[in-house]
Amino acid sequence: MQVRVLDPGAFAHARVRLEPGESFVSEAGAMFRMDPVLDLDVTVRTGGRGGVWTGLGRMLGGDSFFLSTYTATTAPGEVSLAPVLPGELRVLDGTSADAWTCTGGSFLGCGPEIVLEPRFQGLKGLVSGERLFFLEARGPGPLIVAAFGALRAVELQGELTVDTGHLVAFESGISYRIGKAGGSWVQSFLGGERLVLHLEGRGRLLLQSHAPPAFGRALGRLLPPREG
Amino acid sequence: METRLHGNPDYGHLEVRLEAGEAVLAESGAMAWMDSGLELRARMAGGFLRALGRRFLGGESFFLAEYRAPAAATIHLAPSLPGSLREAVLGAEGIWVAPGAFLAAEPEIELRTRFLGWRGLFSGTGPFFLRLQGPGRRVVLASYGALVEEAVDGERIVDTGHLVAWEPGLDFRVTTPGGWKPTLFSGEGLLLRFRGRGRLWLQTRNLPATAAWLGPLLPA
Repeated sequence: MQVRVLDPGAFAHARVRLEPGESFVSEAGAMFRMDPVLDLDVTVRTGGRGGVWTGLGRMLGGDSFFLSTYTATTAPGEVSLAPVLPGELRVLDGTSADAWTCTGGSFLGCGPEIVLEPRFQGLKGLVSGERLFFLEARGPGPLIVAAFGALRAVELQGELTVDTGHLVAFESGISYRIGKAGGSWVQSFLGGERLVLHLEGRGRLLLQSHAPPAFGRALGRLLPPREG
Repeated sequence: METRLHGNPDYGHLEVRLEAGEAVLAESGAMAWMDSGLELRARMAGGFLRALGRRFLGGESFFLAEYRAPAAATIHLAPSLPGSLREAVLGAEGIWVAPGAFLAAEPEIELRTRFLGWRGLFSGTGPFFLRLQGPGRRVVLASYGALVEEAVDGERIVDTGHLVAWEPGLDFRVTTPGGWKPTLFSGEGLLLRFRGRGRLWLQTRNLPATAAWLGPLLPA
């Protein structure tokens, strides 16, 4: 299996080459081209785990209920994947000890041995404006994540404050809590930063330069009102 | 205060390194991520009534955010739209900045909100503009699309909705392309005619135009 990011930058896409017997998993709807020798199927299970509930959890997290699987049976073939928003992609090569938590919609695809499990964020997810569920990707193999805008990797040692909408994925050694941006609550709210995430721990962290909700609001207020 | 621009031309974002005691003034909501421990203080966008106007007539924020670092720290700021960033050093007269184009500045900068009346309304970006002053002080401008900077000595015609910033040595008035045919059919309803001498910053895309294109395609 070989995963390459092509046309890096705002319109990056991933090309996955599969040898006979190999397969790959992606977010439903992410495939934009594939060789006809590949079998396309849908599943709610990954890495031999999961069911209807994991599908529902994924959906509440901003991902798809079903996942697509691509399998090469008799001959090698290639499948190409692309996210919805313009932005950069990153391929993370996981070992069996690795676990990444992906925020709403940043998961694009992964190898078949990676287990994808929705992780309930509880009240934190609701109040922060992030999702109720984040998606945890655990196990060996390639994992592709997508950003809105530029993707920046940070090696966290200690603490970092991240505005909601800018977090892409973080490793399992990192935890977060919801809080104010800094200074008093009043100043923080008046300064336009409502709730932010305070991340803590050790590990890698991926951030995106732009926040989809901020872009959506800027464009949305110029669009005609939705009816019904 | 040390600044670094990343991600130009399509996803420009700004890294600001602050020494202990230093601060940066940012557009409201522009903080993307930062070292924990920075102090945030809201600052009125230049005069109560005008800040109010900026908020309710211009659709922008009433306050700006000032981040102060008790110890050396880094903060990343990002605009809401995809595009470019450019740093400008203010001359003796300062600059005018169109709504949405201000990202960050040194906090010592003097900042006022000004109502430009009909000219502002017809400029395609909104009636409230920021007036920034402070010779030698740094400002970071943000555009939708690429950011074009040019030195004008004489006249320049600019389409509405593409204005980012200009120096007060320049002044503009709203005109039509001249003659009824180009006015109706050139696709350039109103134009801005700049005259004078100074720097002019423009953006290569126009958000109302994007919205006008997308709107009719939305389901009823």
